[in-house]
Amino acid sequence: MALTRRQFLAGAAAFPAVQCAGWRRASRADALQFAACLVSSWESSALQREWLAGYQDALASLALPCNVIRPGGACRARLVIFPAADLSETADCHWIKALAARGSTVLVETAAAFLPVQAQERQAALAESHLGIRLHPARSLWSEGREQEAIPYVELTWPVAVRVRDYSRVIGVSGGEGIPLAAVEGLPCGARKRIGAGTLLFLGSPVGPHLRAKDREALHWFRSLCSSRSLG
Amino acid sequence: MKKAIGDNEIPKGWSFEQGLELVKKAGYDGIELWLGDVEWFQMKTTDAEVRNLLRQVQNAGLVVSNVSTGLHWRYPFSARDPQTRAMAARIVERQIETARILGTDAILVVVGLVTPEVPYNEAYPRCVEAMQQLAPQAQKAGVKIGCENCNSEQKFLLSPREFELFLNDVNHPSVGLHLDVGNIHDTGFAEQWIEMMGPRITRIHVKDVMKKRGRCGDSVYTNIFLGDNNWQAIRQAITKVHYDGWLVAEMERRYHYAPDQQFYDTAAALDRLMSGRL
Repeated sequence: MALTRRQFLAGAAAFPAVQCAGWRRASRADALQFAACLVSSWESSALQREWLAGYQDALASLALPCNVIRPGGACRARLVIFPAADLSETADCHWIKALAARGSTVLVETAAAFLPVQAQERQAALAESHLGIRLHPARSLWSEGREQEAIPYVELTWPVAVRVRDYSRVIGVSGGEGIPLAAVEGLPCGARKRIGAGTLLFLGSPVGPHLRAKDREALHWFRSLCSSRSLG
Repeated sequence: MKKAIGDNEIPKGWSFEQGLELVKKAGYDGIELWLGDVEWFQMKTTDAEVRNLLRQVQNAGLVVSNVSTGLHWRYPFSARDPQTRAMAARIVERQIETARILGTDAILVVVGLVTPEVPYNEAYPRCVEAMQQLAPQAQKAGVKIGCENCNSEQKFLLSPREFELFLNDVNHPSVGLHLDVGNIHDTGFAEQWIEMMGPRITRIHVKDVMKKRGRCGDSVYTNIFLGDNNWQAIRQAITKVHYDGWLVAEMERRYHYAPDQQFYDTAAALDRLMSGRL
């Protein structure tokens, strides 16, 4: 399921991102007022659209206003979410770091597991050198015959401990502080670390699609994350 | 009502032309063409070649009842992989294009699959969205997308109530139900599906089913009138909802000998069903 950047973009030419529920193009002034900012780095991508839509739905259900911005865009929200992040540019990492340093909680869900190996490696190099997060090669969780085995649930540990569905392929993630933010079958796939006044949360298996599927535990986790005590 | 049978039923080793001759001789009015399931009708088959298929159908004195495909078992709209979903959409687009060429107004789509890996609540919104995206193209072409109920195999949209909600969520007049009265197995009653879905039925696939599984070897499907479907109730329900479209035979179990005989026997059974003499 590795995608080139072009395929990733073209995967859903029929599904323009502007059709996402709640999508709006905010002015700079608007952008400063939202409780959460969702980051969209692709013009149109089926993968990102779905992951992003999950967060939009969940934020709407919590009556939290949000807007969608491009990487590097103006944002003073306490929560910044970057679903299906490609992190192909050094500037993206600098921007994430600056947002966290200023006091935001920045949640990055990497799309690396669905990108070609070369793009995975580039993302891993950038994440390690600029964010101090180590990414490991993608692992397929659903091999032949898996149907007869246990479900590879992802265990999220913070701010509440919940289990959510896997998403077929996972990126091992390390370099955080304390216990891993997430793990699947013993493989750490999430990291949490303080950066300045804020926090970086980095996930190698997404929550967004499960929010879109209205998974109760995923919603509970996200609700807890949005509670004021968890942010910053 | 008119009766048809799929070109994927044509006995192995027979040409399309020979198959058409048999279909006509057995008394059918039309033929269902299966994109990707037979060598003469593939995704790479050109428009000119499709027009040639139509000529052959017409020369045999038949019409095309609808365009079906089994390709969505490999490329379902419920897949997590966006490339698989893009392929699923391309298949439907080709079905719509070829339906227009072939002069029919209905296609069959197996919209999504629930699997151990992809859960129901994840598959559902993807399938709704996919149908919403494709419906305007179908409408423009004057074609109806009939989503088939493959209840037990799909593990998706298992009851008529679920299917109704699905179609309500898609909310487009060009998307309906391609009902298979044999696919309901022991999860319900075909006649109730017909009553509930009525005008939303685009085509009806006809076969019989053994509701008590494990009684019939490697398949629960069997010939019309040999299984556990309540054919009187099905016929009454068809009358009740004023369905007057195609009955398309889909025989999953094939005769071990004299494969052409199954075409004659099935046509006779369809005639009895249509006549109501049950």
